[in-house]
Amino acid sequence: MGCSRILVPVDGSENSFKAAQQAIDLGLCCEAELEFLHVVNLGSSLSRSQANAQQTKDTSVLEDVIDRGRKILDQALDLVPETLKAKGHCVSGVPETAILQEAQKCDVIVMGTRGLGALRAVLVGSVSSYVLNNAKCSVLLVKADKK
Amino acid sequence: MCMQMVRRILVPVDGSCHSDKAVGEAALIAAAVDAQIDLLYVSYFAPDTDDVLTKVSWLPDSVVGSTTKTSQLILEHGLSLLPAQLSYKTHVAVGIPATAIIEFAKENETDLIVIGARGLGIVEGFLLGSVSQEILDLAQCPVLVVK
Repeated sequence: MGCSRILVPVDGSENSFKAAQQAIDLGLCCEAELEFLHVVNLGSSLSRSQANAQQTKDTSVLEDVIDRGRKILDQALDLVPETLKAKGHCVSGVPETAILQEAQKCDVIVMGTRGLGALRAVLVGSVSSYVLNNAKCSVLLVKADKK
Repeated sequence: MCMQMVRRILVPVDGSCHSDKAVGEAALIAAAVDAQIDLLYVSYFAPDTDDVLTKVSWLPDSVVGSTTKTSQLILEHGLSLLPAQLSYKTHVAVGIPATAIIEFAKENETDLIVIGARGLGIVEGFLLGSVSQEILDLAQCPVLVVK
Protein backbone atom coordinates (compact mmCIF):
# COMPACT_ATOMS: atom_id res chain seq x y z
CA MET A 1 0.00 0.00 0.00
CA GLY A 2 2.83 2.34 0.76
CA CYS A 3 0.76 4.01 3.40
CA SER A 4 2.95 6.90 4.36
CA ARG A 5 0.61 9.83 3.74
CA ILE A 6 -3.05 9.78 4.62
CA LEU A 7 -5.40 12.51 3.45
CA VAL A 8 -8.39 13.13 5.72
CA PRO A 9 -11.00 15.60 4.44
CA VAL A 10 -13.04 16.98 7.34
CA ASP A 11 -16.11 19.17 7.15
CA GLY A 12 -17.08 19.34 10.79
CA SER A 13 -19.77 16.68 10.57
CA GLU A 14 -19.90 13.84 13.08
CA ASN A 15 -19.16 11.38 10.32
CA SER A 16 -16.02 13.28 9.34
CA PHE A 17 -14.70 13.15 12.92
CA LYS A 18 -15.43 9.44 12.99
CA ALA A 19 -13.39 9.14 9.81
CA ALA A 20 -10.65 11.25 11.40
CA GLN A 21 -10.41 8.79 14.28
CA GLN A 22 -10.26 5.92 11.82
CA ALA A 23 -7.49 7.71 9.93
CA ILE A 24 -5.55 8.16 13.15
CA ASP A 25 -5.84 4.44 13.88
CA LEU A 26 -4.69 3.59 10.37
CA GLY A 27 -1.85 6.07 10.71
CA LEU A 28 -0.73 4.41 13.94
CA CYS A 29 -0.79 0.99 12.25
CA CYS A 30 1.22 2.13 9.28
CA GLU A 31 3.31 4.86 10.93
CA ALA A 32 1.98 7.33 8.40
CA GLU A 33 1.68 11.08 8.32
CA LEU A 34 -1.80 12.57 8.42
CA GLU A 35 -3.03 15.55 6.51
CA PHE A 36 -6.39 16.93 7.52
CA LEU A 37 -8.04 18.99 4.84
CA HIS A 38 -10.93 21.39 5.16
CA VAL A 39 -12.39 22.80 1.98
CA VAL A 40 -14.17 26.11 2.17
CA ASN A 41 -16.80 26.05 -0.47
CA LEU A 42 -17.28 29.71 -1.14
CA GLY A 43 -20.09 29.08 -3.57
CA SER A 44 -22.28 27.75 -0.82
CA SER A 45 -21.20 30.36 1.69
CA LEU A 46 -21.83 33.42 -0.35
CA SER A 47 -25.06 33.93 -2.20
CA ARG A 48 -25.14 36.00 -5.35
CA SER A 49 -26.84 38.87 -3.60
CA GLN A 50 -24.19 38.98 -0.93
CA ALA A 51 -21.46 38.90 -3.52
CA ASN A 52 -22.97 41.95 -5.14
CA ALA A 53 -23.49 43.75 -1.87
CA GLN A 54 -21.05 45.83 0.15
CA GLN A 55 -17.48 44.63 0.07
CA THR A 56 -17.04 44.79 3.83
CA LYS A 57 -19.88 42.33 4.43
CA ASP A 58 -18.31 39.88 2.00
CA THR A 59 -14.98 39.99 3.77
CA SER A 60 -16.47 39.18 7.16
CA VAL A 61 -18.44 36.21 5.78
CA LEU A 62 -15.26 34.90 4.23
CA GLU A 63 -13.34 35.40 7.44
CA ASP A 64 -16.04 33.63 9.42
CA VAL A 65 -15.98 30.67 7.10
CA ILE A 66 -12.21 30.36 7.17
CA ASP A 67 -12.24 30.76 10.93
CA ARG A 68 -14.78 27.96 11.22
CA GLY A 69 -12.58 25.84 8.98
CA ARG A 70 -9.57 26.40 11.19
CA LYS A 71 -11.59 25.42 14.27
CA ILE A 72 -12.61 22.17 12.59
CA LEU A 73 -9.00 21.43 11.72
CA ASP A 74 -7.93 22.17 15.29
CA GLN A 75 -10.58 19.80 16.61
CA ALA A 76 -9.30 17.08 14.33
CA LEU A 77 -5.66 17.73 15.22
CA ASP A 78 -6.57 17.52 18.92
CA LEU A 79 -7.53 13.88 18.40
CA VAL A 80 -4.06 12.97 17.17
CA PRO A 81 -1.70 11.36 19.71
CA GLU A 82 1.80 12.78 20.02
CA THR A 83 3.42 9.79 18.38
CA LEU A 84 1.78 10.62 15.07
CA LYS A 85 2.71 13.42 12.67
CA ALA A 86 -0.26 15.42 11.47
CA LYS A 87 -1.06 18.77 9.97
CA GLY A 88 -4.13 20.71 8.94
CA HIS A 89 -4.79 22.52 5.71
CA CYS A 90 -7.61 24.84 4.73
CA VAL A 91 -8.26 25.54 1.06
CA SER A 92 -11.13 27.09 -0.82
CA GLY A 93 -12.86 25.64 -3.81
CA VAL A 94 -15.17 22.86 -4.84
CA PRO A 95 -14.74 20.14 -2.18
CA GLU A 96 -14.39 17.11 -4.43
CA THR A 97 -11.91 18.85 -6.74
CA ALA A 98 -9.81 20.23 -3.91
CA ILE A 99 -9.72 16.84 -2.23
CA LEU A 100 -8.56 15.08 -5.41
CA GLN A 101 -5.95 17.76 -5.94
CA GLU A 102 -4.47 17.20 -2.47
CA ALA A 103 -4.80 13.44 -2.87
CA GLN A 104 -2.18 13.46 -5.60
CA LYS A 105 0.46 13.68 -2.89
CA CYS A 106 -1.14 11.01 -0.71
CA ASP A 107 -1.32 7.23 -0.59
CA VAL A 108 -4.80 6.82 0.80
CA ILE A 109 -7.84 8.97 1.50
CA VAL A 110 -9.91 8.32 4.61
CA MET A 111 -13.28 10.01 4.63
CA GLY A 112 -16.85 9.67 5.81
CA THR A 113 -19.67 8.69 3.50
CA ARG A 114 -21.99 11.48 4.53
CA GLY A 115 -21.04 14.98 5.48
CA LEU A 116 -22.86 18.13 6.40
CA GLY A 117 -24.54 18.53 3.08
CA ALA A 118 -26.00 15.09 2.62
CA LEU A 119 -29.56 14.06 3.42
CA ARG A 120 -30.13 11.29 5.95
CA ALA A 121 -31.50 9.04 3.25
CA VAL A 122 -28.33 9.23 1.21
CA LEU A 123 -26.01 6.34 1.92
CA VAL A 124 -23.00 7.79 0.19
CA GLY A 125 -22.89 11.55 -0.30
CA SER A 126 -22.00 13.26 -3.54
CA VAL A 127 -18.54 14.41 -2.47
CA SER A 128 -17.53 10.99 -1.12
CA SER A 129 -18.95 9.32 -4.18
CA TYR A 130 -17.10 11.61 -6.57
CA VAL A 131 -13.81 11.27 -4.69
CA LEU A 132 -14.17 7.49 -4.53
CA ASN A 133 -14.84 7.21 -8.24
CA ASN A 134 -12.08 9.55 -9.36
CA ALA A 135 -9.25 9.06 -6.89
CA LYS A 136 -6.22 7.23 -8.19
CA CYS A 137 -5.33 6.01 -4.71
CA SER A 138 -7.30 3.77 -2.35
CA VAL A 139 -10.14 5.27 -0.37
CA LEU A 140 -11.23 4.11 3.07
CA LEU A 141 -14.84 5.04 3.60
CA VAL A 142 -16.22 5.30 7.09
CA LYS A 143 -19.96 4.83 7.29
CA ALA A 144 -22.09 7.27 9.23
CA ASP A 145 -23.74 5.93 12.36
CA LYS A 146 -27.39 5.06 11.85
CA LYS A 147 -29.67 7.40 13.70
CA MET B 1 -14.31 1.44 15.99
CA CYS B 2 -10.61 1.60 16.57
CA MET B 3 -8.13 0.02 14.21
CA GLN B 4 -6.58 -1.82 17.13
CA MET B 5 -9.90 -3.56 17.56
CA VAL B 6 -9.96 -4.86 14.00
CA ARG B 7 -10.11 -8.60 14.45
CA ARG B 8 -11.51 -9.73 11.16
CA ILE B 9 -10.92 -8.32 7.72
CA LEU B 10 -13.13 -9.51 4.90
CA VAL B 11 -11.64 -9.58 1.41
CA PRO B 12 -14.04 -10.70 -1.32
CA VAL B 13 -12.00 -12.21 -4.15
CA ASP B 14 -12.86 -12.95 -7.76
CA GLY B 15 -9.45 -13.54 -9.29
CA SER B 16 -9.23 -10.07 -10.84
CA CYS B 17 -6.10 -7.97 -10.52
CA HIS B 18 -8.05 -5.49 -8.41
CA SER B 19 -8.98 -8.17 -5.92
CA ASP B 20 -5.31 -9.21 -5.84
CA LYS B 21 -4.42 -5.67 -4.87
CA ALA B 22 -7.12 -5.72 -2.21
CA VAL B 23 -5.63 -8.91 -0.74
CA GLY B 24 -2.22 -7.22 -0.62
CA GLU B 25 -3.50 -4.16 1.20
CA ALA B 26 -5.62 -6.20 3.60
CA ALA B 27 -2.52 -8.26 4.41
CA LEU B 28 -0.59 -5.12 5.36
CA ILE B 29 -3.29 -4.00 7.75
CA ALA B 30 -3.83 -7.50 9.14
CA ALA B 31 -0.13 -7.83 9.86
CA ALA B 32 -0.07 -4.50 11.70
CA VAL B 33 -3.06 -5.29 13.94
CA ASP B 34 -2.84 -9.07 14.08
CA ALA B 35 -6.25 -9.59 12.49
CA GLN B 36 -7.61 -12.60 10.66
CA ILE B 37 -8.23 -12.33 6.95
CA ASP B 38 -11.37 -13.90 5.56
CA LEU B 39 -11.09 -14.54 1.85
CA LEU B 40 -14.53 -14.95 0.38
CA TYR B 41 -15.46 -16.19 -3.06
CA VAL B 42 -19.06 -15.86 -4.12
CA SER B 43 -20.42 -18.11 -6.79
CA TYR B 44 -23.76 -17.78 -8.56
CA PHE B 45 -24.02 -21.53 -8.71
CA ALA B 46 -23.89 -24.13 -5.98
CA PRO B 47 -21.60 -27.13 -6.61
CA ASP B 48 -24.60 -29.41 -6.97
CA THR B 49 -25.74 -27.65 -10.13
CA ASP B 50 -23.09 -29.60 -11.95
CA ASP B 51 -24.39 -32.89 -10.70
CA VAL B 52 -22.72 -35.61 -12.78
CA LEU B 53 -25.81 -37.82 -12.60
CA THR B 54 -27.82 -35.33 -14.61
CA LYS B 55 -26.28 -35.81 -18.01
CA VAL B 56 -28.28 -33.08 -19.62
CA SER B 57 -26.86 -29.69 -18.80
CA TRP B 58 -28.63 -26.75 -20.30
CA LEU B 59 -25.77 -24.42 -19.41
CA PRO B 60 -22.35 -24.68 -21.07
CA ASP B 61 -19.37 -25.82 -19.02
CA SER B 62 -17.72 -22.45 -19.35
CA VAL B 63 -20.58 -20.98 -17.32
CA VAL B 64 -21.36 -23.70 -14.81
CA GLY B 65 -18.28 -25.85 -15.29
CA SER B 66 -16.94 -27.00 -12.01
CA THR B 67 -17.72 -24.27 -9.57
CA THR B 68 -15.81 -26.11 -6.90
CA LYS B 69 -12.70 -26.06 -9.04
CA THR B 70 -13.11 -22.37 -9.89
CA SER B 71 -13.61 -21.38 -6.27
CA GLN B 72 -10.61 -23.46 -5.23
CA LEU B 73 -8.37 -21.89 -7.84
CA ILE B 74 -9.40 -18.37 -7.00
CA LEU B 75 -9.08 -18.86 -3.25
CA GLU B 76 -5.71 -20.57 -3.63
CA HIS B 77 -4.53 -17.69 -5.74
CA GLY B 78 -5.66 -15.27 -3.04
CA LEU B 79 -3.85 -17.28 -0.38
CA SER B 80 -0.66 -17.24 -2.41
CA LEU B 81 -0.59 -13.47 -1.99
CA LEU B 82 -0.69 -13.62 1.80
CA PRO B 83 2.54 -13.64 3.82
CA ALA B 84 3.18 -16.75 5.89
CA GLN B 85 2.52 -15.51 9.42
CA LEU B 86 -0.95 -14.18 8.77
CA SER B 87 -4.01 -15.93 10.14
CA TYR B 88 -6.65 -16.51 7.51
CA LYS B 89 -9.72 -18.49 6.53
CA THR B 90 -11.21 -19.14 3.13
CA HIS B 91 -14.92 -19.20 2.43
CA VAL B 92 -17.26 -19.88 -0.42
CA ALA B 93 -20.77 -18.51 -0.57
CA VAL B 94 -23.49 -18.92 -3.14
CA GLY B 95 -25.70 -16.12 -4.29
CA ILE B 96 -25.67 -12.60 -5.54
CA PRO B 97 -22.17 -11.31 -4.76
CA ALA B 98 -22.96 -8.05 -2.98
CA THR B 99 -25.74 -9.61 -0.90
CA ALA B 100 -23.67 -12.64 0.05
CA ILE B 101 -20.73 -10.45 1.00
CA ILE B 102 -22.82 -8.20 3.23
CA GLU B 103 -24.48 -11.25 4.82
CA PHE B 104 -21.10 -12.73 5.55
CA ALA B 105 -19.86 -9.48 7.07
CA LYS B 106 -22.89 -9.33 9.37
CA GLU B 107 -22.77 -12.97 10.43
CA ASN B 108 -19.05 -12.97 11.06
CA GLU B 109 -18.76 -9.54 12.70
CA THR B 110 -16.39 -8.26 10.09
CA ASP B 111 -14.59 -5.14 11.25
CA LEU B 112 -13.28 -3.98 7.89
CA ILE B 113 -14.04 -4.88 4.29
CA VAL B 114 -11.25 -4.47 1.74
CA ILE B 115 -12.40 -4.68 -1.85
CA GLY B 116 -11.02 -3.87 -5.26
CA ALA B 117 -12.62 -0.92 -7.02
CA ARG B 118 -13.43 -3.10 -9.97
CA GLY B 119 -13.62 -6.80 -10.46
CA LEU B 120 -13.77 -9.03 -13.46
CA GLY B 121 -16.88 -7.49 -14.91
CA ILE B 122 -15.35 -4.36 -16.35
CA VAL B 123 -17.73 -2.05 -18.10
CA GLU B 124 -16.19 0.79 -20.03
CA GLY B 125 -16.59 4.11 -18.31
CA PHE B 126 -17.48 2.79 -14.89
CA LEU B 127 -14.77 3.54 -12.42
CA LEU B 128 -16.35 1.69 -9.54
CA GLY B 129 -17.77 -1.77 -10.05
CA SER B 130 -21.38 -2.53 -9.26
CA VAL B 131 -20.51 -4.99 -6.50
CA SER B 132 -18.14 -2.57 -4.77
CA GLN B 133 -20.71 0.19 -5.07
CA GLU B 134 -23.43 -1.93 -3.49
CA ILE B 135 -21.17 -3.10 -0.70
CA LEU B 136 -20.32 0.47 0.06
CA ASP B 137 -24.00 1.34 0.33
CA LEU B 138 -24.96 -1.58 2.53
CA ALA B 139 -21.91 -2.20 4.72
CA GLN B 140 -22.07 -1.27 8.35
CA CYS B 141 -18.33 -1.38 8.88
CA PRO B 142 -15.69 0.75 7.11
CA VAL B 143 -14.85 -0.22 3.54
CA LEU B 144 -11.42 0.22 1.99
CA VAL B 145 -11.76 0.48 -1.77
CA VAL B 146 -8.50 -0.35 -3.50
CA LYS B 147 -7.75 1.24 -6.83
